Order: sequence, then C-alpha cells, then structure tokens
Amino acid sequence: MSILTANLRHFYQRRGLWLFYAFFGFLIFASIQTVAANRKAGQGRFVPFAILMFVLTGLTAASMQIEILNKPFAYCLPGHRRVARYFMLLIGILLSLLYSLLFLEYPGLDSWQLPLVVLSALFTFLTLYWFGAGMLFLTHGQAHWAVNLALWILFVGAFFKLHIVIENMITKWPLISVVSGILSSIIAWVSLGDERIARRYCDKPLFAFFGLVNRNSQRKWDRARIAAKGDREFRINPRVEEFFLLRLRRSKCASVGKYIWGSLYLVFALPLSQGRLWLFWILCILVTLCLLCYASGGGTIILFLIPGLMAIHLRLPVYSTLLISGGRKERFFSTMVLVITITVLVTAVAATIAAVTIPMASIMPEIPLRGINVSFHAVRLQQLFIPLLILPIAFTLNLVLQRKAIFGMLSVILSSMLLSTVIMNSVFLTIMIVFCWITFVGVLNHICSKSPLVGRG
Amino acid sequence: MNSEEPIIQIRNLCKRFGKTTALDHVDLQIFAGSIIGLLGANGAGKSTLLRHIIGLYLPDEGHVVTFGREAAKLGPRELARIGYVHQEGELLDWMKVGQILCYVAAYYPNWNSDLESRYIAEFEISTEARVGSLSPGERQKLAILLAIGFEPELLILDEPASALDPIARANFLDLLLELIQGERRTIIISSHILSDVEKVMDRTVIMKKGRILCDSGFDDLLEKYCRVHINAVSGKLPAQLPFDNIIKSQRNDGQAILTIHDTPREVLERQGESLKCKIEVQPLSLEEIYRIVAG
Repeated sequence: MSILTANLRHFYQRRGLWLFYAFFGFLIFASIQTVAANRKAGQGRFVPFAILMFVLTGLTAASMQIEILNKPFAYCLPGHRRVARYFMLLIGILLSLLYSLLFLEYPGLDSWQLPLVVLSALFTFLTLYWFGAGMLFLTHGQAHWAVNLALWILFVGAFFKLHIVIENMITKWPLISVVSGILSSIIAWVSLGDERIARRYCDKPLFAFFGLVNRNSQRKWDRARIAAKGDREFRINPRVEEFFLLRLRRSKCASVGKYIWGSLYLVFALPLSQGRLWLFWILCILVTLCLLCYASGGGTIILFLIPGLMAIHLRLPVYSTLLISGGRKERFFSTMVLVITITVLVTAVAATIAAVTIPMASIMPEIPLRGINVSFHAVRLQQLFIPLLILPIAFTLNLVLQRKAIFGMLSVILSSMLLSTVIMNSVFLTIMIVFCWITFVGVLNHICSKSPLVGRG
Repeated sequence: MNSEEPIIQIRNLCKRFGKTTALDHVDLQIFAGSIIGLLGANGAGKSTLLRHIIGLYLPDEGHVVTFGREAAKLGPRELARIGYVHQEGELLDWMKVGQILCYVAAYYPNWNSDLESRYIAEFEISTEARVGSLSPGERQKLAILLAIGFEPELLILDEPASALDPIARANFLDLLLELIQGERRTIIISSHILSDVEKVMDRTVIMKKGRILCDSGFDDLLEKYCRVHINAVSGKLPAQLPFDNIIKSQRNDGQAILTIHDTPREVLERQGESLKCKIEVQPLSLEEIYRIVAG
C-alpha cells in the first residue's frame, strides 16, 4: 500500500470525520437548494456555502496531515514527510472540481463561456481551500487559533458581501481566479515540500483539530502550555489558596464537607486568582453582548450557551483519578454541590447581564447600517432560565460522554437550539428544569453506585 | 495458614468489559504485613484487580472486601488507610508540586511531613515546579510521595517504577523495604520489571487472562522450581533418567540439563548419586519461573 493510500484511509477510519461529512453534506445540500430556489446571476447565490466548506475542508485536511506529521513514527517512515502535499493537493482538486460543476447551472452564459467559468470556479475554490489550510500552518497547527482566525475573516467577509465579490470574480474575471488558484497551489506545494515542516511538527504538543476528541493529545497540549506559561497563567493567589485550604483542613476528618471544599478549591481556585482573565472575559462578554443585542435580542442565547459548552469540559470530582480518601458517597456529594454552585453563579451572572441590558435598551442609540437603523434589544427575561436548563443537560452529558467531549458539545448545541424553539410558557419551562435536574441526579447516582469510576469499562 | 482476618478478601471475582473477560473467578486473600508481587503480561487483569480492591471498579460477580468492608462501600475512614499509585493516574497539572502536596496532605490528619521532606530531598523533587511541567519520571516520584506521605496501612502500586531511572528505582525499593519494616503494613506491587519486585516481595501472585495461575510465598516458589545439571563422570548417561516432575529437558550423551518442579533438593541429590554422576542443583530466577508458569 502506498503512503498516499494509507493517508487516504483516514477518511473512513477516523470516526470524528463522520461529523464533518454530515456537516459538509448539509452544506452541499444547502448550496444546491439555494441555487435551485433562485438561479439569479450576480447575487452571490452560488458561493456562500462553498466559502465555508472549502475553508473548513482546507483546515480539516491540513489538520489531518499535521497530526500525522506529529507522530514520531511518521518522521522516520520513508517518503512520509513529503506525502502531505500530494494528499492536500489531491483532496483540494477533487473537491473543487466536483463543486465547480454547480456553475454549469449558472444562468446567462454562452456555451464557450461555461467551461471557462467552471474552470475559474475550480481555481477559486482551490484558493479558498489553501486559505483554510494556510490558516492552520500559519498558526503552527494550533487549530483553535486557526478556526478563530478563519471565522473572523469569514465574518468580516460576510459583512462586506464577500460571496458576491467572489461570484463576480469567477464569472467576470476568470483569469484572476485561475492565476490565484495556480499561485496558491504553487506556494502550498513548495511550502509543504519543505523538509523542515516534518521536524517542526514531530512530537510537538498540538491542539489539533481533533484534539477535543483525543484526550491524550489534549492532555499533552495542556501540559506543554503549563510548562510554557506556568506562572503567568496558572498562578494561584495565596489568599484564595489559603481560603480554601483553611476550610479543607478545618473540616471534620472523613466528613463530606472536606471533599466538597476540596472539589470547590480545584475548580474555583484558578479562575478566582486570575484578575486579568476576568477583565478579559468581562470585556469579551460585553462586546459580544452589545453585538448580539444590536443584531437581535434572541441571538443572546449564544452567551448562555457558553457555560454549557464549558461544563462539558469540566473534570468532575466523580471521575477524579487522584486518589484522596473520598469514597463513592463523597464523590457524589462533592459533584452535586459543585454543579449546583456553578449553576447558581452562572444564573446570577446571566441575571445581572439581563438586568443591565434593560436600562441600556433605552440609552443605547440606534445605529444606521446599510440604510437600516439597527436598535439595541434587551435580553429577554425568559433566557435567564436557559442556564438552569442547559447546565444540568451539559453536566449529564459530561458524566455520560466523559471521553467524547465533542459529542457532548454538539448535543448541548442541538439541545439549546431545540429548547429555544420549544420553550413556551413558565409551566412547561418549570417541568423541563425539574426533569433535567432529576435526570442529572439520577445519572450521577447511578455512576456513583454502579459504574466504574476509572476509564469507561 | 494465617490465623488472623485478611485485610483483603476476594471471592469468585468476575469482571467483563464487553466481550472481554478481565477477571475470571478470582479468589485471593491478603493478610497484613507482607509485600505481594502481582505479576502478569499486559491485559492479564492486574490493574483491574487492584481497582476492585479500592472500589473504583465494581464486580460483575463475586465479592471484594477490603478492611472488613465491601470495596464498593469504602468510606473515607477505610480509604485513608490506603495509598494508591495509579497507572493512568492524573495529577493536578496546573498546581505547583508544593501546592498539590498541601492539598493532598489536608485530607490526612496523619500526614508525615518529615517523610515528605526526606523523600523530596532524596528524590530531588522541586516543590516550585508545576506538576504539568514534570517529566514522566518526576511525575511518578510525586505520585509515589502522595501515596506514601500519610503512611498507609495498605499501599497499592500499579506499575510504580516503570518511568523511574535505575537509581531512583533502587531508592524507591529501599524506601518500600523501610516502610514495611516494624509496621503491620502491606504493599501490593504490580510490575513488569521482575528484577525489581523480586528484591522486595515475599509473596508472588501470577495472573494470566484474568485468572490467578500461581499464588505462593516467594521463597516457596523459588524452592518449587530448580534446574539440575547432570554430568556423566565416565561414559554416557543412562537413556532413562530417574527424575520425576520434569518440565524441560536438554541432553546429550554425557550431559543433561533438567528443569524440575516440586522435588526436594535432597531427593534430587539422592537420585543423582544412584546414577553415579556429578549433579548440581540451581535455583531458577523469577523471570524463568514466570515464563514456566505463565508461558
């Protein structure tokens, strides 16, 4: 079997990729649907989904290659170091070719223009694909930065109607498309053929694109970060440390309280010690809140989703592998108290945010945007209950999908989308909240009394 | 047989993970005051057995009783008597070594600060280093310190020395011997490094595919197996050698090397004399015995 074939096998062997296939399938379906619904030229209907798809495909394909280069054994395999470029180019050309066929349906083109436009589309998509891949190589394989960067560029691009510009470029200036496609491919080919790439990525701690699925690589990356930024990002304030340790020591020996203070210390000591981090987050939340409140009051659901997504990644005391003298009962109660504390805190923050936006709605000015006056909407009070719903769901998923955080995250997003369409009245909401909490307590109790607490036997 | 109550009693323990049988009707009793070497290949069920003892895993069938209590129901009082070095154990990476020591020590009223200081000095652990920045060997040293710092009655070590360098390993074994001296402490040590465990253990449990193949005192085990070198003084050896319980035999006309079990040395020497040959009886190493039992 050739190295290229072996690499291509990742496409079906890697289960995490099936999620991306589902997403790409949705994008392709949406593209065809959009074109079929209204085949008008010059409105950017042929490319918006393609932009997202090719940038993401570039990121994914590059990530797979970087992960292979990251494995020490791959460094020594003959010919493996240079196979990345063959792999990347093959995927890019095949997908671009397939997607560019959509332009056969482009209206108002003569028969001689049609192949030229399809060719132009092929090279444009190839450029977008290399752009996605380039993001990952530019950020030295750190996928979270690459995704952030790419999303921001796409976000700004959408604001400036990039899809219309690209569609016009494909149909009106094919030469530019072809030249940009060829140039980007040459640059990528030469860069990927560089021997130093293999050396750069070999056994380097990476936050790979699939890092959320692979716990080992995530742990390795965490340790590297701690080693590099130890005192800057992980310093515990002595007063915070003293506060928790004092209570931990004072608690009666073998009492449940001891373990509860212990688990609270592990979760809160670090964030409570990071003043600058808090300032950063408050600023981020305020800016996002303003943007979302101007966009639409309903969009603020995203803000309440963030704690849910964070809850998926939290290491709950129930699965602690650091053996302290707590038994299953102590693990149950410390997890319970921790989850309740987090929920109360998040709900309090959510309530504060909602309360702040109410007077802001009367103060904040209307902003003219492309001829429309956009006004500031306060956060709907109904959304205050979202953390009470989302957090028990997220923590239940955390318990059940302990080693498959990505599925947990997707489930939280889907649940919140579903809930945002279903929530009707306060009675239904109350029933849902009670149901979610009963489920969480039931699952936790089952794990603490009947399940292995190490691994997923 | 020991007249006192065992501190660990395992009866008919079975554990399955899907289609894999990790433990297959295991029976084991462990009494206080010994060092037990738990040997076996990867996947033999050693870690699974150890995790049942402290209640991290629950049996599908059978019972595990630790310190007189069902392992699943072990509470802080019993667990405070157990130290455990975990094969996949994760420490709190963001903490400094000193901080994690303070944190763990807060759970144990009998934390021995002198032992901690001595261990830190002996094993050259920096208390200012972040746990996440430690090398695998340093992490293992820290995990050992966290497990022994409160001088547990039962110390369970799951592959404790695999990442340690030879000097640290030797120091660690000395420490184990020191811990066990004069106290009614028990140590269960699971390891692939047979040369290490044979220096310290006084009881050997060999596992294979979830079953216990051998459970015996280490000295008894060494006496049970031996190698006999037989050299003909003149002429050839007889075609039929008068020995029983032969496991393995290599021979030519004038010389034979036999691996024999369950035959006392005196009996072998008497039988050798009747042959009028020069006979030499040698004990087997633990590795050789392990190969015979688990091979």
